[in-house]
Amino acid sequence: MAKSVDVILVVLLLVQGVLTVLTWVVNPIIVTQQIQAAGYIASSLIILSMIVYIYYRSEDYDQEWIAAGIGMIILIMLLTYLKGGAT
Amino acid sequence: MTRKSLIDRFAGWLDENFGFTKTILRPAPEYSLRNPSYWLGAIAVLAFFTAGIAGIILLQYYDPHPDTAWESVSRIIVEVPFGNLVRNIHIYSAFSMIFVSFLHFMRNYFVVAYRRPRELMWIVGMLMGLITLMMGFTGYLLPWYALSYAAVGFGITIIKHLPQPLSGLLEYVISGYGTDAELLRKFFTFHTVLLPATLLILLAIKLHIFEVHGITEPVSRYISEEEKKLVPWFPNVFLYFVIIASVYVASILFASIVYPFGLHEKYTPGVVTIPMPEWYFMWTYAIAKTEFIEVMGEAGFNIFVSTLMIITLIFIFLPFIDRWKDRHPSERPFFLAIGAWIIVQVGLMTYLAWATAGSYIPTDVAILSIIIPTIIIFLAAYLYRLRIIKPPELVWEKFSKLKIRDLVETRPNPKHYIRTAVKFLLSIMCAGLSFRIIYGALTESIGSVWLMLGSVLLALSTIEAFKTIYLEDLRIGNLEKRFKALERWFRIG
Repeated sequence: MAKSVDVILVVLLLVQGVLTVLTWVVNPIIVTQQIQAAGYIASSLIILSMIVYIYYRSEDYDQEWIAAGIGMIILIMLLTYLKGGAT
Repeated sequence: MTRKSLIDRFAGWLDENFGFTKTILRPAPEYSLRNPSYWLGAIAVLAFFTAGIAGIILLQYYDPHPDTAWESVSRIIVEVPFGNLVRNIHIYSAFSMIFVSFLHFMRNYFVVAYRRPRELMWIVGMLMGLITLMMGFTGYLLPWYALSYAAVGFGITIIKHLPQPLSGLLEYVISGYGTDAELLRKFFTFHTVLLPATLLILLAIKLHIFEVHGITEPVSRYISEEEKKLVPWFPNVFLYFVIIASVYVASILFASIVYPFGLHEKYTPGVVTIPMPEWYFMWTYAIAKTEFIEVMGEAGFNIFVSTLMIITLIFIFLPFIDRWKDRHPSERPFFLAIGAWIIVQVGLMTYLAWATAGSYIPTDVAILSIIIPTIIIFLAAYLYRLRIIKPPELVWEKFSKLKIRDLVETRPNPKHYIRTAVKFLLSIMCAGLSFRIIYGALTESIGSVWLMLGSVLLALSTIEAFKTIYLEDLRIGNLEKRFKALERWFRIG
């Protein structure tokens, strides 16, 4: 049976993959779409930090940082769509 | 046999290829990996490289000539793929480099990180700080805004008031005696070649000294042997820094989303603008535009520039001036008060310069804003030394008696994380909204009722954000750990 940390890792990597694809499909000339790209990359980096944090602290990680990480990703994506438009 | 996780196997494969575990970089004590303030210097270096990479991309499209500089920046924004984003990353990285360098400087000042054998490390660090400010100064002119041209004019006036031969030399080297084209070219050369190259050389020297001596010992006497245990650079320090670097770059991008920079009015000869330096020079600008300096005229400006120079020199040679034996802030009330005073004054002067844009700061306001914080800070520092102000150890004792622990959930499920994340997110969003309301009330004169509403909303959302973290900390037993860490730092020996 897969370790729970492996499951979390796979889920986070999948989200990162989706964000990377979204970064590639933005129009790099349009300023509002550049804001979207910034949002995707920022969220992807927060996910990376969460993955490394879980691994680094192993069983001893502080759960509030994981909650704060999820909160930050939601906030970034919300602002991305508010500032960058929905297209 | 226990199966290794995916990430463990990946790390092993990387190490096999790169040999990270055989690195010569020195191991770090465990306690330094629990506190990001030990890594402020590393964050400043990261900011330097982030700004540098973004700057190299901008360099491909920027044209350093007064007739075309502004247009080339405009072209970067509207025509270059990801141009606006790269420009924002460059600006925010540069800002964060200055801000983090200041935090690094103040932290090392408070923990007396300049004691033997680190005197030269401090001096090199101070020189790096000055070069960082000069990079900001030279970079501000490059978009050729009317605003930045006026601010650079103010900076050159300061240079002219420095003692000879320094003044003449700097005036020739930096501003030249010729045309605007010469001025822009010189600033461009300094910003893109000379200053970064000097900074890299100083960085190499500082890193060498750091690798020789390692992290400064903590000021607290209550660090356990377990926490002092050295952990290897790879994977421990490396992974810790990957986390910091990811969060840092994400924050830079976040700032670019929330407040992307626009383009100010272009400078053309004859345009009259109020000189407004960038935020990191606002405090010096505030001192220069106080009424009494203005009334004294040339002599006043000379006093201002000389004072700045003397303060800078004192801080550069601080390792040879500060002979106080103890390193704990509670045993050094004078130095503690000076440090706190600098932070408060820089903040206050920056605000005064911003609030009185286009006019002088009245003498009475200037005197009051110096005297009142001075009295409060020095009084607090000496009361702390005399044990009249108690450290926060008592706070934890009181909290632990409340038995709130029984009231909170002890077995979390995934819903709990989502709930906590959403609560935290909502409180942060409310805080952001209240900042916008306060900013609007101050700058767009939308009324004192809105100012009051904004302040109340800010207070409530801050309390809610802290409460969310507090309950979460309490649930997993971290609150005690955090209070103990705080208490250990403040406890008088």
